[in-house]
Amino acid sequence: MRTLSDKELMFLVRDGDLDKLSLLFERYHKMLYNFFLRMTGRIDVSEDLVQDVFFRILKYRQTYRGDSLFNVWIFKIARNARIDYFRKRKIESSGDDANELASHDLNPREGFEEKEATKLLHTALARLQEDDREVLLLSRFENMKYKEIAGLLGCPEGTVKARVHRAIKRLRDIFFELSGEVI
Amino acid sequence: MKKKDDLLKRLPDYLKGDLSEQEKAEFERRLAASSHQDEIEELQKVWQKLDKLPDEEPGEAVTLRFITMLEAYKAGQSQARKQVRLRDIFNDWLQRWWPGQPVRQFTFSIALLFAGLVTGYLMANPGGNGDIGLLRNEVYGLRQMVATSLLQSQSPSERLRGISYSYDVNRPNDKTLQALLNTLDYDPNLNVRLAAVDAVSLFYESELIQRGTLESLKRQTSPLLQMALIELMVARAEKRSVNVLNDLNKNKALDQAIRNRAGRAIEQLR
Repeated sequence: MRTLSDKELMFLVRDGDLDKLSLLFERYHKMLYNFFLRMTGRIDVSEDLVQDVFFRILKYRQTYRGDSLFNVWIFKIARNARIDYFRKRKIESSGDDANELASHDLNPREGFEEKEATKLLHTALARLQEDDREVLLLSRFENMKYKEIAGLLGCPEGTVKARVHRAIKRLRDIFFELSGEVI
Repeated sequence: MKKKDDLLKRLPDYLKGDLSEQEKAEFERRLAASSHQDEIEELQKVWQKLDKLPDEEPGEAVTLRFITMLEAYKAGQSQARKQVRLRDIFNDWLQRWWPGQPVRQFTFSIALLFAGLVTGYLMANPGGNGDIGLLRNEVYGLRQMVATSLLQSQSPSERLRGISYSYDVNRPNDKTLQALLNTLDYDPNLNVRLAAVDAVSLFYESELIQRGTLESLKRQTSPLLQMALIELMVARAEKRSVNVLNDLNKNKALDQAIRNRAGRAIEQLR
């Protein structure tokens, strides 16, 4: 039996087969969770935001048109959910103090050196400007093309690439500041 | 400078693997000949180092919350459809049986009124035989269905009605309780959410409500709702809320009134 595509599943959800949302949840919840975690550094906030995204999909499913790639569509919802969340709270979305990723042993399978390197990376990411961090995460981890990210953010493709470049340069500098080592 | 700029402009595409084989070869050839090779190779290493960032596993609670939310939403949708069908059936029946002549309409109205009064009398009596008990249970079941379906309505006033319907539900099932909790957390209308606080307080003996309101207190951002939930925690002597209240008390981004109330609540719960 052929596996249904994301778009096909979402059309079924739109047309009333709500159980199909569970399949989309299985496919996307971990990806969304890690996106939020890397953006906010907060486990509890990330869990809330994942729930919020799927609630919004359910509530506004009738508006789904299938015009764009599904992963771009769902990340548009994710971005809006995160922005709304922090706008209501009027606090910074990530700071070193709130960054659980940098301070906790989240991955028990890693060795000590690997854990230290991971923590360093998390801290460095948290220090990037939010816009730059977001573009870097979308391009590096969510595997979106620059053109897709540009469509998502509503800016030219050149701007996306410039932000990626700036983010990588800044990461390099932060890494050196934190570890004293050239990367 | 121009050559460096060109290289840097192509770097994001190169890192992402978006260049064709020919373009990639050209980029690498120019990089090798460039005096900025070291700098660009450093940036390349940063990009590759990001590979070392592991994916974290979301906790089981994430999946459980989703399933609960989906089931509650589906339950509400199902009740709404049943209500529409019942209404259509009733309308068809009424059209068949309603007499055409005015005198007969009057007589029929009186009969209906009498039947309503008798039913009301029987319902008001706590004693009575098994048939009355069954009828009472059916009515409560209907109220749950109506409450749950109204909570899914597009109209805020209908959702408020749904909340007031839930007050009269004798022993609400978990679906109804979860629907109230979802309203408390996700309804876009603040008045509806405030009404939901009152409703959930009536069913506070339920472990589901106790856990749900505590979780809600962590998540709420409206000062009115935060205050209402803090009052609920104090009224119900909910000592499990102390950690959350502590976080609220320390959160400098919150309204000072909320922080103070959270601090006092901690003292009251000691």
